[in-house]
Amino acid sequence: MARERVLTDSWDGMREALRGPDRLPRNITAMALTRHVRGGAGDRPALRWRPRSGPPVEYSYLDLDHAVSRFASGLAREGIRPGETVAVLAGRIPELVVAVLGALRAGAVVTVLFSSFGPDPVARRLARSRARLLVTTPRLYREKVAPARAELPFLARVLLVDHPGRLEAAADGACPEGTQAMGSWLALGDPGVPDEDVDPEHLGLLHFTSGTTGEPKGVVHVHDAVVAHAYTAERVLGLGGGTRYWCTADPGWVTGISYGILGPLATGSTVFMDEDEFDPTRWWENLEREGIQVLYTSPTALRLLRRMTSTGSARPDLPLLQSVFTVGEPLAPAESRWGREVMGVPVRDTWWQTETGCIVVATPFDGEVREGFIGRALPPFEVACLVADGEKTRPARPDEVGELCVRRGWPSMFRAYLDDPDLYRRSFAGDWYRSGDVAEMHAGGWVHFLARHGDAFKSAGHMVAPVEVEAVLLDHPAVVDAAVAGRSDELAGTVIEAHVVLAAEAEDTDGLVRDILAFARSRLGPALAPRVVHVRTHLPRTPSGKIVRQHLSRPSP
Amino acid sequence: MSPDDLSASVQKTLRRVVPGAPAELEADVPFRDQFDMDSLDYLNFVLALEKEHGVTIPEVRYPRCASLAGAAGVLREVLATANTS
Repeated sequence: MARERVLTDSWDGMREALRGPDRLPRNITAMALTRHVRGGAGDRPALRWRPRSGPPVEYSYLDLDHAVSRFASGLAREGIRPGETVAVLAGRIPELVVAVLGALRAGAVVTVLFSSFGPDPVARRLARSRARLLVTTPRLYREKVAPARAELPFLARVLLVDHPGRLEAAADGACPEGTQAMGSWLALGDPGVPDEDVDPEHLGLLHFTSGTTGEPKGVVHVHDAVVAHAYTAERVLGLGGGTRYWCTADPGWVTGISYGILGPLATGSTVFMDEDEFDPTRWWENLEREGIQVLYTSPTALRLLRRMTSTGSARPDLPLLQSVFTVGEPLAPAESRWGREVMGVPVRDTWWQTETGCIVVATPFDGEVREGFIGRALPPFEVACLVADGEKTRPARPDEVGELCVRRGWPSMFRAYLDDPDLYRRSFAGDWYRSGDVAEMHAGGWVHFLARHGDAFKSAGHMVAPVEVEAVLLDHPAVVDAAVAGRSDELAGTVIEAHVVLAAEAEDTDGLVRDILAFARSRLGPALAPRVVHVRTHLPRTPSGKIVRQHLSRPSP
Repeated sequence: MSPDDLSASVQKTLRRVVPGAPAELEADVPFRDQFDMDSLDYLNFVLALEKEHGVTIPEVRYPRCASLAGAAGVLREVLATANTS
């Protein structure tokens, strides 16, 4: 459908294309739902949800629109005003989508917390967000919220989802004190509430992300961000009206919101969502039975799949699968090759951060794939590798290592760190947002990721970027996951220590460890090769898949 | 091993792989509806079952290992096959 396309050559053009001739309200939910309902695509499936057990349940754009209105009208009934915060603590369930889009429709700020966080981080984030209303499940409430409820004075209303997927169906039993069933609450709502016409700079999304030290950072985005979500979903992932799309990211992570809900719905795609965590059998079933055309996942998921998939076992044909993308950590050439072999299409890398809100550097669906490179900056983004030069910064010379920076001014650029204006100011050097990621930009603008700033270390006087060493270790046929860190050493100051996870068929023997060491040395030379290899069952990672290098020295549980 | 012994053994493995997993579990309810278990825990759990019993659990039976009764059932079947072959 021509009217659904948002591709033009400027952010202003995209903004106008999204609002369309009807001049829709400038609200994320207007772009994600209203646009399609008014455009005559209300019957199209917006969400196909596979519960942990049982067949998938489908919701059309119109179904979602009604439930989202009921949610938005409920907020008004509760006296929750635009700009106040709604929190969601849940896994991949339809009610999460309804709460996110409903809060945005009403002009509230929405924050989604990782359901696998424990009670302490949940309480800390709820307190910092000053959430007035929380959507969660009875179990998560009992275990993670109830103990701290007394310390959350802002939290006026808690809605519990006891039967995910049933939206406004009434609850079976009584809810714990101080809570209410979301189904009954939704049933009271009005199914036809318009989108609040907010200023494009009105706050809409709050994402918590772990900083290098101390408190989690609260990253704030505005409603205008949807322009970038829609554009990148179309331009990078290749999504359009009716595309069957699966994003495996947890909604507690920015990917699960920007590309699990907002971007794909804005393009009119059909979003597939699996309630269950990663499981190799379900993985193949989902791709095959749902006829998934575009998959957005992580290198971690590919590694798990590789670890749990015995070589030679039968794989379904996936004739409909067009593209596979990853995010969260660099895609090693070995993982990329393995993914291509088993899924039949190249695996394409993307780079972005919670702060950028959308994909910035990528190998788009129709772009050339170059092994070892994330890809190139997506126009109209301007990206540079900058290095410090006295008081100022200058662009890195070709192939020189620098900090990946993005010129300010794109719609989903974060607008603040919650309660920390100083940190926000320090995140910019003049017109440039400083990502804290170290990279090289090669001829033609190809970006090669090296390390998260702070992960790099010196060993025997040589700068070591762990990711570079890890990529080589992953090329060893017996190694499926690897992490590298420095370890104090009397002679060298710091030696390179590798922690590896072996493939299912490989046996953990002294001989194999020696073989890995020799292999790394032959490829990296003595200055960069690890001196010690520890075999582990898994590596410590954040929920988004980044290696927690400060935990590497601890043995596996 | 009797069904009860098998179930107890599975619980023991689970608690070793997932510290803090509850001692009282509903046999037919998925672990993930009863406590926090992420993909890595799950993988480690299945691998630990394999290691402790000296068996290989076929990939297609992984999903059934997601509950106490399911995992014990899979283990019983796999052990029976191993004993007869």
